[in-house]
Amino acid sequence: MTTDDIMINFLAIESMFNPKVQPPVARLSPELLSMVFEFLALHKDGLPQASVLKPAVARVCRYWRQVALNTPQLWRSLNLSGPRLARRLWERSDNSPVILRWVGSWLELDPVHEELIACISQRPARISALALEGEHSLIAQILGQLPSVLPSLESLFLNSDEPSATLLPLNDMHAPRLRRIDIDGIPVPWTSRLLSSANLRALTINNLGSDLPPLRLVLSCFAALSSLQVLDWAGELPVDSESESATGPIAERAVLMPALIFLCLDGSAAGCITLLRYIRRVPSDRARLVLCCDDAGDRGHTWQQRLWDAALAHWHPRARALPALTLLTNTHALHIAAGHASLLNDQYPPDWNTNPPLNLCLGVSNPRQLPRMMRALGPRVADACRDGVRTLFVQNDFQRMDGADWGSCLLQMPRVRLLHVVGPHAALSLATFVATADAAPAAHKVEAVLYPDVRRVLFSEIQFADVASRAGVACWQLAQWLVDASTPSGGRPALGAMEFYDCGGITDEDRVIDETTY
Amino acid sequence: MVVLITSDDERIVVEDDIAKRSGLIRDLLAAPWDPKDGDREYMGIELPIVSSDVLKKILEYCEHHKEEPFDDTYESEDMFADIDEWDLNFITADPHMAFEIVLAANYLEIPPLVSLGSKAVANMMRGKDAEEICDMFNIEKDFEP
Repeated sequence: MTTDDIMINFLAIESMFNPKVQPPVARLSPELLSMVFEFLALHKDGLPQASVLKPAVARVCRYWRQVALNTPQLWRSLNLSGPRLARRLWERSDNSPVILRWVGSWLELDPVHEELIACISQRPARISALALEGEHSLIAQILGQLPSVLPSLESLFLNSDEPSATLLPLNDMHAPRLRRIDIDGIPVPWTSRLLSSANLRALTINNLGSDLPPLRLVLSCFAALSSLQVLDWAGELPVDSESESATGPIAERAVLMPALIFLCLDGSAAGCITLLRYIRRVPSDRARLVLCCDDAGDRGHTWQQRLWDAALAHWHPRARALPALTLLTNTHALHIAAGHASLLNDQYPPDWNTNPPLNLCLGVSNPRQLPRMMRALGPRVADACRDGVRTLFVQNDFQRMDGADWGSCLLQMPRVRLLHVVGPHAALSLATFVATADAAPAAHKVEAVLYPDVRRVLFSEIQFADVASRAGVACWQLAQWLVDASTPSGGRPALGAMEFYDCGGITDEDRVIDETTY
Repeated sequence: MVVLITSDDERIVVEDDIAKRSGLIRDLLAAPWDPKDGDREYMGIELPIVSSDVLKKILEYCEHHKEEPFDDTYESEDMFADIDEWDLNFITADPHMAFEIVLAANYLEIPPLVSLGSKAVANMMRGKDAEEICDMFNIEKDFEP
């Protein structure tokens, strides 16, 4: 038994009998506490967490500190740009796998850095993650000093400050356990063995620049990634050129990516459509697709429809209904979801491999295009959503959508259970639609649109006095219709809740209600 | 059937298959029993550091996982694998119970539950500084860096 062991046991016993320390946390043995700390040092996705440099648990109390100091996994994030501390952590982390980081473009490699990297390079099996952020040449220098075979590397993150067309020395690198690659501002080494790893789970590509590889090269690379679950590509996307189109029917050149769950393409509509046509996956209710097309709004409704058709035909070849949809711009969103689909504006979460999916999102960069896009897609959305939609999330901060947009979508969604309206313009759109004089009286419209299945209505960030003055219908009137329509009759269940968050102007006194449940 | 006697003297009757998810109980049941010591079922198995509410939670977990093969290792390949949705709901239903579950599962030798509880406890601490952790768990901060 070492001195450290004796100290830990002493502190553990002292902690258990310290009346100021409440059980049960104080009764965790050093082994259990150490196991908790090990989990704490991991990301939710199971990869090492790069940000733990000074673990808080080492500053809680003497007992926890001793346990933390003897938990090597807590000390394995080494910032190479601080070589002296990194050297100490390299030793304290014992034989644990380490995360090598470099952050800072203003620094240059000096002999102390190089000595440290040389020391680490003698134990390549200890390197589990590489996260290098800085100038392209500096990243190249560091990579050049590391061994070409990294048998334990699971995560590779490379981010260049200034996008460069120069390839990094990655082609000879071999990392058979690699699970995740994030590349930003650096040409993707499409022919490298790194990108043919059968273990690769996530590939994120950003800012490739205009020097794009041929589509066939990209597809042949994708074909080898049988375990890839996340493909997140933002920036320039490859487009199917005429010469490539002539090389054979799409069906013959399409690649099956059987494990793919999350696909996010952020680029031109033509690029999105191209990749959607060639990437095939196994239909799954966990599937998630996000498309953000800078030019989808500006190129006209034909492109929007093509994009929509490519997404649906590709993604739900056998699905009878679309589980979820978000039309998203910087200031507008119409979010329609079923089942567990939930958040707006979220990129894939850290626990993307377990989180229930949001399935489809179409974005336009020009917010004024959204109403036009909705008009173009309205009947198609309605067809896809008719039976499946349970949640309708409407956020429209910038300008209202007209009644026709609402009519084309909402009237075709009789199964909505949760309606969440965010922002004054979204509320104005709803109120206007309900109050607009046409064949159907307003109360009947509420009933027809929102019933029979709606159980919960949420309003957020809305000044209802403004809505009332501009739409000619007050919030209380809208609420009254909702409540009246929910009165149980003919087997209809009552409305479960009507909630207001950060809303004002609801009563005559203009009283602000932060959180109220009807 | 097995009778388990908790620290608060509650006798809980449980099916063998469920009780045997615990390595400790499995070993005790496999040990030779002298009839002179009395009726085995009546005597029961005393669990002096496990309270009845914690034991009931643990038995709920064992019941749910009773069809699965035993996992006696803490270092399995899937130690950091995804948490099953049922498990996640089970362990996060009462965050402070997670500590009790970790302690009791460790005593009862149920490694998957120890791992699950440890993950839950780690998640409770994630993103918090030392002061917040002290406040959350009512720990006296007897150390200044």
